Amino acid sequence: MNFNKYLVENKIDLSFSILFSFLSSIPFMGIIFYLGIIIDSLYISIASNSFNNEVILAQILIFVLIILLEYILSILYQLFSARFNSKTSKNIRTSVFKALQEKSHKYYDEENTGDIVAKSTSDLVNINNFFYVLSAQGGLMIGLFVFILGPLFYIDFVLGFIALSSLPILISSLIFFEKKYNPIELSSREKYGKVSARVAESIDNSILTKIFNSETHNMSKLKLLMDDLKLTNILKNKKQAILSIQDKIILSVIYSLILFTGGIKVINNQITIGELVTSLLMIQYLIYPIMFLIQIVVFRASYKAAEKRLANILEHPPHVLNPGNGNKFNHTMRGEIKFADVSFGYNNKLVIKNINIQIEANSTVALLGASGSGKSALINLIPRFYDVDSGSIFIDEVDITELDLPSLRRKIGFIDQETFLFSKSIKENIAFGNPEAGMEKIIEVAKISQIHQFIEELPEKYDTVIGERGVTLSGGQRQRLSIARALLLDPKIIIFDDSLSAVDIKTEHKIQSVLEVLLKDRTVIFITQRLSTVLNTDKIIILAKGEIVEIGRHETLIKTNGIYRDLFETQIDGLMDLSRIELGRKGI
Amino acid sequence: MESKIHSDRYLLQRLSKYLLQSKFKLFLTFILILLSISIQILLPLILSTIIDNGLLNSNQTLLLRYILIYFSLQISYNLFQYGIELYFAVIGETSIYNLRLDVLKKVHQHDQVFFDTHSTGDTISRITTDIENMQHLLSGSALYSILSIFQIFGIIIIMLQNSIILTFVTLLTIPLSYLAMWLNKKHIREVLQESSDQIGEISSIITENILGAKVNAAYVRSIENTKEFEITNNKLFRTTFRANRNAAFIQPIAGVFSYLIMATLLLVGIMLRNNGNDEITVGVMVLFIIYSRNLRDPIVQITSLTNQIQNSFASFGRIISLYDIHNSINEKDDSRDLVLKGGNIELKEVDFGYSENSLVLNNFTLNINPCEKIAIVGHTGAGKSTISRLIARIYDINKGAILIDGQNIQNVSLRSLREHIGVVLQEPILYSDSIRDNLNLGKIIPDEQLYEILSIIGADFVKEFPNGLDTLVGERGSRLSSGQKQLLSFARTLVHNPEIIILDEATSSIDPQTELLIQRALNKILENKTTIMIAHRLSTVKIADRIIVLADGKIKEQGSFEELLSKRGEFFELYNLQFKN
Repeated sequence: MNFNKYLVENKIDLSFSILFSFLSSIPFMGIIFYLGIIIDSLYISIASNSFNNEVILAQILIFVLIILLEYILSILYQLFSARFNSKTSKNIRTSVFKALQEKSHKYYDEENTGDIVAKSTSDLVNINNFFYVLSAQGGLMIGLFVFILGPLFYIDFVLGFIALSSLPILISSLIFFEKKYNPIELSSREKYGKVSARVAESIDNSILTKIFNSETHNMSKLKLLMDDLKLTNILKNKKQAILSIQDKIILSVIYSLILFTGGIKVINNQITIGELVTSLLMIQYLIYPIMFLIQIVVFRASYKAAEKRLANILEHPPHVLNPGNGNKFNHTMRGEIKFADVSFGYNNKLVIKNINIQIEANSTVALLGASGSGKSALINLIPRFYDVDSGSIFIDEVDITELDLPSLRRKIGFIDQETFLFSKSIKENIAFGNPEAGMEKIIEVAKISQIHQFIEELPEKYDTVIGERGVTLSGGQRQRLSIARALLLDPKIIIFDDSLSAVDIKTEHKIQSVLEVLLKDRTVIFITQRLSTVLNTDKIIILAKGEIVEIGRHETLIKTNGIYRDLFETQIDGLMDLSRIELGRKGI
Repeated sequence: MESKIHSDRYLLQRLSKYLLQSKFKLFLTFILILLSISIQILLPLILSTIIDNGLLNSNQTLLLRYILIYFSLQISYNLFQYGIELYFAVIGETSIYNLRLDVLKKVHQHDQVFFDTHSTGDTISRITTDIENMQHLLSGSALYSILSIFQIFGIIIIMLQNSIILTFVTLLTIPLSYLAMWLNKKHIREVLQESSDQIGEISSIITENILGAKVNAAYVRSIENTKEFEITNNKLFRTTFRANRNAAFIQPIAGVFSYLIMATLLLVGIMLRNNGNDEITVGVMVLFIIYSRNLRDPIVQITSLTNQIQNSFASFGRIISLYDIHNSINEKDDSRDLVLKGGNIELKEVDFGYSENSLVLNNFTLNINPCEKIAIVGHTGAGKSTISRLIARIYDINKGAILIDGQNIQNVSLRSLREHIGVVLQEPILYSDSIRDNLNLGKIIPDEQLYEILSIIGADFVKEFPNGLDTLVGERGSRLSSGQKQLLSFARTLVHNPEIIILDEATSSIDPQTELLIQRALNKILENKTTIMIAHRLSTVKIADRIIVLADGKIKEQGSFEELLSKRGEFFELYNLQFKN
């Protein structure tokens, strides 16, 4: 993963920031250098007992001017760096968000929501911190380095050499540190991600925790993860502290050496007292670039960790790819679907095995089967939420992988088993696939889905906000909204994944009778557990363990002594009771 | 959720609790800091002596001796600093850990209304990101800044002995630095609170879009969603840029002031010497210059501490807001444990609505006999699920009373109430843990017993998994089908073996054959248990002793399956619809 492109995107702000930051180091060191000059004037004046006020005043005036120059330059570099930083972080956030939008379902199956959120927020902050110190301080620190060593050599070669000799030791200690530190930082971030994920889960599952009194259990799970994070973080800080004490001791040694050597040189009149003071102050300032390097190493470790963690969002192409020049259905879609030798699985376990189905245009197909038989997996392949492992799916005799992905999905109304609605208004939720849709159209589909009347009773009607920040809806109400949402697309193919399971019988019946007309010239595939709904379908498919075990119309299947007949008899049980009562009434 | 701004004193009070948990370490750090500070005060004095007595008097032995003292003090200073850093890390991590633990505990205690009305993403961001922001303040590094005030006093005492006038000049640093600080303060807090709120919003947008990823894909929403995201993202950009821009002007001011004081020092020093003041030597001037710089350090530290505090307080305010939520569902002080004597449930003239102006239940009365199996049918939104939530006191009723074996549920402890009631939720909730952990939820139950219950309800798929009960189900059970999730959720309740069971559409996604198996098993499992079954599928309610037909929060019909069918009313109609052919 490479974030350099964000640096390039804002290269003007970055360059100015580094430039001004570098330039500000000149007055910064100028202040110290000038201090030595003024002290020398003072010393000479005291020694000769004659004060040249004009010269000293002029020197102090220049001193003040240098100070102001430093202030102006530091404002400038901070301004550019502020803009660089805010912009870059905004751009990276946008990229991450966009990348998340493109991810296919497989990605979300494998990742944890809380961890993705941690990656796209706090790991992002780490990338920015690194960029920030580089852009704001980088120039200044390079400048300090140059302008500390330069004048030192200018004042005295030996003093300069002593200061320079510290560098290889300091730098090798940093390199050594970085090697050990980076893995600890990465593991700290990973552990933080785990804590975030678990926190997210516990908040999501609050109602479960209440019902099962499992607060303690949940807290102990959280605690385990947090303990782990805490220990890693302490270790991390320990490593940092060791590095910083190493470097500070090296600097102390250098300082004393310079004080001693310089002192002897002052006594021998080889350098002035002012020059010695300047050298000493400079060595003290040498701590800044050194600390900066430490900070850079530490921030770079977080940056590298973030880079690694974000790579799986930003770098990996989505599993499901949109073909470059896909067929966009400029002609009308007929809606004929064909599965040819389709196999598909999760984690190396096949859930769909070698399936062949021919679904005629405008026909209605029902999928039946036990839990885990592969029904949902099968229909998820049609809008390409997942891609097949082998075999092909054809719509109107074109392989769906050759179709333009957005066009394909816009032609399919997919009504999921578990309804997800966004915390937006009802209107926006229904018009989710076509935000431009007019109110008339929205009301029309709401009426078909038998949810219009309910919406009208809400205080803000179609503008009522639902979800986290608004009205709580029942399972059935949400399912009906999701049907309305799908119908608004006017799709040629409609897929129901047991999407009426939470709707009551009466409403279901109403929806069905209205839908009947609407679905006439569309291809419909539905999964259901209620056999009463499959009687009139063109085709009933029964799946077991990923394979088709029975296929045909009700009239045919009921005659074969198979699974369908068993199922049917199970559910017809109730009917038998009814007829018994009927008979009883008639006194038979 | 907008956060209100708390007063500093209040926040500090809440905060100190966490720091004081590491009292002993804090005390040690306190000593180490004092030692460091003393050395810091002494060092320039030694340097000034080196200059005046060693260098300018050309005394090499004195020079060497003082340099050795200087060096050893510096090394001890570094060692103390190392200790301080280490302790700060330990104190910081511990305090953060404790704070997070407390907040999580508190959040776990909030009633469901809290979770219904607060965005998950934002709450998470408060518990994760905002608590991370507290790191500095909670590490006790504030202590260093505060103790550096001693450095100021030490410096003043030494300065006074050298030159009173120069001391006063140097001391100008203090009011000027405070001025710089004051400029900073007010606006930063507001900006930070604003940006934290916006970061929270960004997290919740991201969270929602991850959860709704499939819907987004199905409806080809990436362009619109990105547009919407950009609105908040741009807001955050503007807020952070504004904050950094203002900081660019204000932050360097403290440094400027300190250099200006150095200039004044030099000027005044030379003037004094010029007027024949012998106190002023080169060593003394160096001493004052270094002190004026060293004086700046504590001031800068305090300034950055205030920034740090602003930053942390903004976050802490958001964290504290999670605490100060009024919970409507509370235990009474004198609440006793629920004592079950058979499991009679009475709802008496109950009024309830999720919002004030629309009642879901209106004057609702229902009496469920001990060990009775009652089924509730009715259209969506009729209030079926609501009843189950009211009995488990997930929500509180507005009016009336709910009694279990004569005890008002508002008077018994929540724990005991929920221990006796098992609710199988309409939407199964699973942790991304193993199947075993999801069934146990912390209770120790032998595997054989788990397998037994799983096989009773036909969840044999678990046995077929290569890892059996150790199989990880993925986030929200993503590796399982809906039916399998429901079966596990069902099994979980049975595993905990409560006396009162509420099945809220517990089998809606389960295939008819497995359901039939469950039906048969239920008769036995539910023996001696009071059971409420909420269902659409009428085949599920046949085993009930009594069926209630609910419409608009009222009982429309009730009776046994056969009675209701003979009545040829609402239920009969429903029945006909379901078995129309």
